[in-house]
Amino acid sequence: MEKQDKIDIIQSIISKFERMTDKEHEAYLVSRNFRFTNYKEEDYISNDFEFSPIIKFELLDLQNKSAVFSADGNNTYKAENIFSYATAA
Amino acid sequence: MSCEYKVIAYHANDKSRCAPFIDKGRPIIDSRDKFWLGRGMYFWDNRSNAQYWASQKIKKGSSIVWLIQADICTDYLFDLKDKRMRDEFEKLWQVFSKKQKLQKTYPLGMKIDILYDAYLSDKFDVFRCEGLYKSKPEYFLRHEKFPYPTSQTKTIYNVKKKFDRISNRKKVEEITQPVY
Repeated sequence: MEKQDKIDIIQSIISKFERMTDKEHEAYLVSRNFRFTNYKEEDYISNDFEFSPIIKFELLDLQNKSAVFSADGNNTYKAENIFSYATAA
Repeated sequence: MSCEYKVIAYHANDKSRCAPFIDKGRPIIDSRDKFWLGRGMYFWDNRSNAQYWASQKIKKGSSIVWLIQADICTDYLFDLKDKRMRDEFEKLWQVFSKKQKLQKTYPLGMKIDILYDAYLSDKFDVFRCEGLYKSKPEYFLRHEKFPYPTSQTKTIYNVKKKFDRISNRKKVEEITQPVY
Protein backbone atom coordinates (compact mmCIF):
# COMPACT_ATOMS: atom_id res chain seq x y z
CA MET A 1 0.00 0.00 0.00
CA GLU A 2 1.48 3.34 -1.03
CA LYS A 3 1.55 6.26 1.40
CA GLN A 4 -1.02 8.25 -0.55
CA ASP A 5 -3.38 5.29 -0.36
CA LYS A 6 -2.86 5.23 3.38
CA ILE A 7 -3.67 8.92 3.68
CA ASP A 8 -6.81 8.33 1.62
CA ILE A 9 -7.80 5.47 3.90
CA ILE A 10 -7.37 7.53 7.05
CA GLN A 11 -9.22 10.47 5.55
CA SER A 12 -12.11 8.23 4.55
CA ILE A 13 -12.20 6.80 8.09
CA ILE A 14 -12.25 10.33 9.50
CA SER A 15 -15.05 11.56 7.26
CA LYS A 16 -17.09 8.39 7.87
CA PHE A 17 -17.02 8.82 11.64
CA GLU A 18 -17.37 12.59 11.56
CA ARG A 19 -20.67 12.15 9.77
CA MET A 20 -22.00 9.65 12.32
CA THR A 21 -24.25 10.79 15.10
CA ASP A 22 -23.00 10.08 18.62
CA LYS A 23 -25.55 7.29 18.88
CA GLU A 24 -24.43 5.67 15.62
CA HIS A 25 -20.82 5.99 16.70
CA GLU A 26 -21.56 4.33 20.01
CA ALA A 27 -23.36 1.48 18.23
CA TYR A 28 -20.35 1.07 15.94
CA LEU A 29 -17.95 0.83 18.89
CA VAL A 30 -20.20 -1.73 20.59
CA SER A 31 -20.21 -3.79 17.38
CA ARG A 32 -16.40 -3.89 17.60
CA ASN A 33 -16.48 -4.88 21.29
CA PHE A 34 -14.72 -1.60 22.00
CA ARG A 35 -15.10 -0.18 25.48
CA PHE A 36 -13.32 3.04 26.25
CA THR A 37 -13.41 2.21 29.98
CA ASN A 38 -10.96 -0.63 29.25
CA TYR A 39 -8.22 1.96 28.65
CA LYS A 40 -6.88 3.16 31.96
CA GLU A 41 -3.75 5.22 32.31
CA GLU A 42 -2.71 3.20 35.37
CA ASP A 43 -2.57 0.06 33.20
CA TYR A 44 0.14 1.71 31.13
CA ILE A 45 3.78 1.96 32.08
CA SER A 46 6.79 3.95 31.05
CA ASN A 47 9.28 1.43 29.77
CA ASP A 48 12.12 3.87 29.44
CA PHE A 49 15.43 2.84 30.91
CA GLU A 50 16.78 6.31 30.31
CA PHE A 51 14.22 7.95 32.55
CA SER A 52 16.64 9.94 34.69
CA PRO A 53 18.54 11.99 32.09
CA ILE A 54 15.37 13.51 30.65
CA ILE A 55 14.00 14.67 33.99
CA LYS A 56 13.29 18.35 33.85
CA PHE A 57 13.77 20.18 37.09
CA GLU A 58 10.98 22.66 37.67
CA LEU A 59 12.06 24.08 40.98
CA LEU A 60 15.30 23.65 42.81
CA ASP A 61 15.13 24.60 46.46
CA LEU A 62 18.73 24.78 47.57
CA GLN A 63 17.93 25.98 51.06
CA ASN A 64 15.77 22.96 51.84
CA LYS A 65 17.85 20.66 49.63
CA SER A 66 14.79 19.58 47.69
CA ALA A 67 13.70 19.68 44.08
CA VAL A 68 10.42 19.50 42.24
CA PHE A 69 10.82 17.81 38.91
CA SER A 70 8.77 16.65 35.99
CA ALA A 71 9.52 13.63 33.85
CA ASP A 72 6.61 13.74 31.46
CA GLY A 73 5.57 17.37 31.39
CA ASN A 74 2.32 16.61 33.22
CA ASN A 75 3.06 15.19 36.64
CA THR A 76 5.50 16.69 39.09
CA TYR A 77 7.39 14.89 41.82
CA LYS A 78 9.32 16.14 44.81
CA ALA A 79 12.73 14.78 45.76
CA GLU A 80 13.98 15.43 49.28
CA ASN A 81 17.58 15.70 50.41
CA ILE A 82 18.93 15.82 46.87
CA PHE A 83 22.52 16.44 47.93
CA SER A 84 22.62 13.09 49.69
CA TYR A 85 21.58 11.42 46.44
CA ALA A 86 24.22 13.33 44.54
CA THR A 87 26.91 12.34 47.01
CA ALA A 88 25.82 8.70 46.98
CA ALA A 89 25.83 8.66 43.18
CA MET B 1 0.14 -13.85 3.65
CA SER B 2 1.48 -11.84 0.73
CA CYS B 3 3.72 -8.89 1.44
CA GLU B 4 5.08 -6.31 -0.97
CA TYR B 5 7.29 -4.25 1.36
CA LYS B 6 9.45 -5.60 4.17
CA VAL B 7 12.06 -4.21 6.53
CA ILE B 8 14.68 -6.09 8.50
CA ALA B 9 14.20 -5.29 12.19
CA TYR B 10 15.70 -6.34 15.52
CA HIS B 11 14.40 -7.19 18.96
CA ALA B 12 16.38 -7.72 22.18
CA ASN B 13 14.98 -9.60 25.13
CA ASP B 14 15.59 -12.31 27.71
CA LYS B 15 16.57 -15.65 26.20
CA SER B 16 13.61 -17.36 27.88
CA ARG B 17 11.21 -15.10 25.98
CA CYS B 18 13.05 -15.02 22.68
CA ALA B 19 13.27 -18.79 22.22
CA PRO B 20 9.45 -19.34 22.07
CA PHE B 21 9.18 -16.39 19.69
CA ILE B 22 11.71 -17.87 17.30
CA ASP B 23 10.46 -21.45 17.59
CA LYS B 24 6.71 -20.91 17.73
CA GLY B 25 6.16 -17.27 16.76
CA ARG B 26 4.84 -16.43 20.23
CA PRO B 27 5.04 -12.61 20.34
CA ILE B 28 6.96 -10.84 23.08
CA ILE B 29 4.66 -8.15 24.40
CA ASP B 30 6.26 -6.42 27.32
CA SER B 31 3.69 -3.88 28.26
CA ARG B 32 1.30 -1.20 27.30
CA ASP B 33 3.86 1.51 26.87
CA LYS B 34 2.47 4.89 27.73
CA PHE B 35 4.88 7.26 26.03
CA TRP B 36 5.82 5.23 22.98
CA LEU B 37 3.59 3.20 20.67
CA GLY B 38 1.32 1.40 23.14
CA ARG B 39 0.68 -2.31 23.30
CA GLY B 40 2.46 -4.65 20.88
CA MET B 41 5.85 -6.13 20.07
CA TYR B 42 8.63 -3.58 19.63
CA PHE B 43 11.51 -3.68 17.16
CA TRP B 44 14.55 -1.54 16.38
CA ASP B 45 15.54 -0.68 12.84
CA ASN B 46 19.18 -1.72 13.21
CA ARG B 47 21.33 -4.12 15.15
CA SER B 48 23.27 -1.46 17.07
CA ASN B 49 20.08 -0.07 18.55
CA ALA B 50 19.04 -3.58 19.60
CA GLN B 51 22.48 -4.04 21.19
CA TYR B 52 21.94 -0.79 23.06
CA TRP B 53 18.60 -2.08 24.39
CA ALA B 54 20.15 -5.46 25.27
CA SER B 55 22.84 -3.61 27.22
CA GLN B 56 20.18 -1.69 29.14
CA LYS B 57 18.48 -4.95 30.03
CA ILE B 58 21.76 -6.51 31.22
CA LYS B 59 22.41 -3.45 33.38
CA LYS B 60 18.94 -3.86 34.86
CA GLY B 61 19.52 -7.48 35.83
CA SER B 62 18.95 -9.74 32.83
CA SER B 63 21.66 -12.39 32.57
CA ILE B 64 21.28 -13.59 28.97
CA VAL B 65 19.73 -11.43 26.28
CA TRP B 66 19.19 -12.58 22.73
CA LEU B 67 19.14 -10.37 19.69
CA ILE B 68 16.56 -11.46 17.18
CA GLN B 69 16.39 -10.46 13.54
CA ALA B 70 13.11 -10.65 11.65
CA ASP B 71 11.35 -9.30 8.59
CA ILE B 72 8.39 -7.04 9.26
CA CYS B 73 5.82 -6.50 6.57
CA THR B 74 5.23 -2.77 6.23
CA ASP B 75 2.44 -2.87 3.65
CA TYR B 76 0.09 -1.71 6.38
CA LEU B 77 2.47 0.62 8.21
CA PHE B 78 1.12 3.64 10.04
CA ASP B 79 4.16 5.88 9.84
CA LEU B 80 4.31 8.57 12.50
CA LYS B 81 7.56 9.79 10.94
CA ASP B 82 5.43 11.11 8.08
CA LYS B 83 3.95 14.52 8.87
CA ARG B 84 0.83 13.91 6.81
CA MET B 85 0.13 10.72 8.69
CA ARG B 86 0.74 12.44 12.01
CA ASP B 87 -1.73 15.15 10.97
CA GLU B 88 -4.36 12.60 10.01
CA PHE B 89 -3.73 10.69 13.23
CA GLU B 90 -4.41 13.84 15.21
CA LYS B 91 -7.57 14.59 13.21
CA LEU B 92 -8.82 11.07 13.90
CA TRP B 93 -8.11 11.54 17.59
CA GLN B 94 -10.10 14.78 17.54
CA VAL B 95 -13.06 12.89 16.04
CA PHE B 96 -12.83 10.26 18.77
CA SER B 97 -12.41 12.87 21.52
CA LYS B 98 -15.41 14.79 20.32
CA LYS B 99 -17.62 11.71 20.07
CA GLN B 100 -16.54 10.54 23.53
CA LYS B 101 -16.59 14.08 24.96
CA LEU B 102 -13.10 13.69 26.37
CA GLN B 103 -11.70 16.57 28.40
CA LYS B 104 -8.17 15.52 29.30
CA THR B 105 -5.12 14.78 27.16
CA TYR B 106 -3.80 11.26 26.75
CA PRO B 107 -0.26 10.01 26.16
CA LEU B 108 0.62 8.79 22.67
CA GLY B 109 0.69 5.09 23.55
CA MET B 110 -2.89 5.20 24.84
CA LYS B 111 -4.09 7.22 21.87
CA ILE B 112 -2.60 4.71 19.44
CA ASP B 113 -4.15 1.73 21.23
CA ILE B 114 -7.54 3.41 21.39
CA LEU B 115 -7.61 4.51 17.75
CA TYR B 116 -6.19 1.18 16.59
CA ASP B 117 -8.87 -0.81 18.41
CA ALA B 118 -11.68 1.59 17.52
CA TYR B 119 -10.95 2.34 13.87
CA LEU B 120 -7.62 1.26 12.44
CA SER B 121 -7.03 -2.43 13.08
CA ASP B 122 -8.66 -3.48 9.81
CA LYS B 123 -6.27 -1.31 7.80
CA PHE B 124 -3.00 -0.98 9.75
CA ASP B 125 -0.85 -3.48 11.62
CA VAL B 126 2.46 -1.78 12.33
CA PHE B 127 3.28 1.64 13.79
CA ARG B 128 6.59 3.44 13.40
CA CYS B 129 8.08 6.49 15.08
CA GLU B 130 11.42 8.16 15.65
CA GLY B 131 12.72 8.39 19.22
CA LEU B 132 15.03 11.16 20.37
CA TYR B 133 17.79 10.08 22.75
CA LYS B 134 19.29 13.32 23.95
CA SER B 135 21.61 11.61 26.38
CA LYS B 136 23.41 9.82 23.53
CA PRO B 137 26.50 11.51 22.12
CA GLU B 138 26.15 13.44 18.88
CA TYR B 139 28.41 11.96 16.24
CA PHE B 140 27.91 14.75 13.72
CA LEU B 141 28.62 18.45 13.79
CA ARG B 142 25.87 20.46 15.46
CA HIS B 143 24.52 23.62 13.92
CA GLU B 144 22.65 26.12 15.99
CA LYS B 145 20.72 27.61 13.09
CA PHE B 146 20.51 24.88 10.47
CA PRO B 147 19.33 21.29 10.26
CA TYR B 148 22.11 18.76 10.59
CA PRO B 149 22.57 14.96 10.50
CA THR B 150 22.10 13.44 13.92
CA SER B 151 22.98 10.20 15.67
CA GLN B 152 20.58 10.87 18.51
CA THR B 153 17.44 9.36 17.03
CA LYS B 154 16.36 5.74 16.80
CA THR B 155 13.57 4.33 14.66
CA ILE B 156 11.12 2.13 16.51
CA TYR B 157 8.51 -0.28 15.14
CA ASN B 158 5.55 -1.71 16.98
CA VAL B 159 3.66 -4.69 15.58
CA LYS B 160 0.21 -4.54 17.10
CA LYS B 161 -1.75 -7.78 16.83
CA LYS B 162 -1.27 -9.48 13.50
CA PHE B 163 1.97 -11.26 14.22
CA ASP B 164 1.97 -13.15 10.94
CA ARG B 165 3.37 -9.85 9.62
CA ILE B 166 6.66 -10.97 11.21
CA SER B 167 8.64 -13.57 9.29
CA ASN B 168 12.17 -15.05 9.01
CA ARG B 169 12.73 -14.94 12.77
CA LYS B 170 16.23 -15.86 13.84
CA LYS B 171 18.69 -15.34 16.68
CA VAL B 172 21.71 -13.31 15.61
CA GLU B 173 23.55 -12.74 18.88
CA GLU B 174 23.63 -13.64 22.56
CA ILE B 175 24.63 -10.85 24.93
CA THR B 176 25.73 -11.39 28.52
CA GLN B 177 27.74 -8.19 29.06
CA PRO B 178 26.73 -4.62 28.19
CA VAL B 179 27.93 -3.62 24.73
CA TYR B 180 27.21 0.06 25.26
